[in-house]
Amino acid sequence: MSSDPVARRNAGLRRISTITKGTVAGGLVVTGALSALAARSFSGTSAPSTASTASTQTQTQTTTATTTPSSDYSNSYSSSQLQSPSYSVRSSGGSGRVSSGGS
Amino acid sequence: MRDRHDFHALGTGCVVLVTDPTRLGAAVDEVTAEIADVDRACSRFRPDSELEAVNNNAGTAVDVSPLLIDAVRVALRAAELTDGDVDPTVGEAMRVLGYDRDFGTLPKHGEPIATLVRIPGWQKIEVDERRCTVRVPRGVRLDLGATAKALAADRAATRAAAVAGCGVLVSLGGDLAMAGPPPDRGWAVRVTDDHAAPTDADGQTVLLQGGGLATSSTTVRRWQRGGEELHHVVDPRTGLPADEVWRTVSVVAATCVDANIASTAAIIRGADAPAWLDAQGLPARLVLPEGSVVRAGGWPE
Repeated sequence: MSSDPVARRNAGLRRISTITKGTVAGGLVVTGALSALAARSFSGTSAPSTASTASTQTQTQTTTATTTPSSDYSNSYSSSQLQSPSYSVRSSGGSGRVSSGGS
Repeated sequence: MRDRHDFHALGTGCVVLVTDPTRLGAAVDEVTAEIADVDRACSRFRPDSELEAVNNNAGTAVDVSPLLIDAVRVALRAAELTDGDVDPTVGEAMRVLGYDRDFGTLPKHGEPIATLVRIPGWQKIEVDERRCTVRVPRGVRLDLGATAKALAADRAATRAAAVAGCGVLVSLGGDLAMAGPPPDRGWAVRVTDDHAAPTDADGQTVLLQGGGLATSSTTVRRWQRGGEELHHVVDPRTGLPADEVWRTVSVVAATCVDANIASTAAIIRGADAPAWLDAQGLPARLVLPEGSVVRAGGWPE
């Protein structure tokens, strides 16, 4: 080992720098691995409920918890406006197969 | 081979139509299973329903199924999108007005209404989707009536079409949902005052490709208290049946739920309804008490 105090100080600083870089790199690797593991473990999406978007103080911000598969109608239920049909309604001269009226 | 099945559920007449008659049985099985699920979760008239557990434990967060969470969310969205015209907290008002049991067993005459109920408002309902709980304040009773029936129709049609692999139309008391490929010309539906009317009754036939059609009417489900005629569409602002500006309103939308929200709100909005429906872009047919028809939102002649 050199007896020059300046040389010893510089060597110490290099060791500290190496240890610091190694610690940072190792932390990044561990963080990435944990993130990937979490992403695989907690599948699904998080969204505020319709009720929660209703500007009320009493409703609780929550995660969607339904078991119903995603579908056009369930997506429509999250819309902030009533959804029009995707086609034009046409009139017909005959009778119907089924009636729609009050019940 | 039949392509149609009629049955009674949710206190009303129901119909399943399919485009492939060989798949009618499979479709009906799915529809009846879905209706049973919704009834068990959402019925106001079943003491063992989840909704009654919520209503009878007001002030407490009650554990419920994801299905009831969905149904309450749908009802709250209805209230929000109609500025409270379609409000699920009318349950107590309905009870005070006398509609406290299945309509088929309801006495059609009774004592005058002694007190009126102030509607507490949908903002008071707490839904925690993470914990799967619903809480209503003390004194509040939920009535998911209209929106839950429409939700059942949407869910049933989607579920049946997926399993049967063909086009399916589900009518629950005249609230219609369609899923899967429609018939070549579309589903022919007679729009009239009463869902139980013949398919050539006074009204109009329209051809639909999918989505939903709902009709709200003040001409059915009527009863008397103290000689006063009542109907089942309650105006949350008064706690009383809505003024009868329209006897029937039919609306087509992307879902039966949205059609039902709009048709119910239109009855309550009265004279303002056609302009509101136009602004929403929802095809609608409104019938005045004397029978003349007003069209909105592109409803055909």
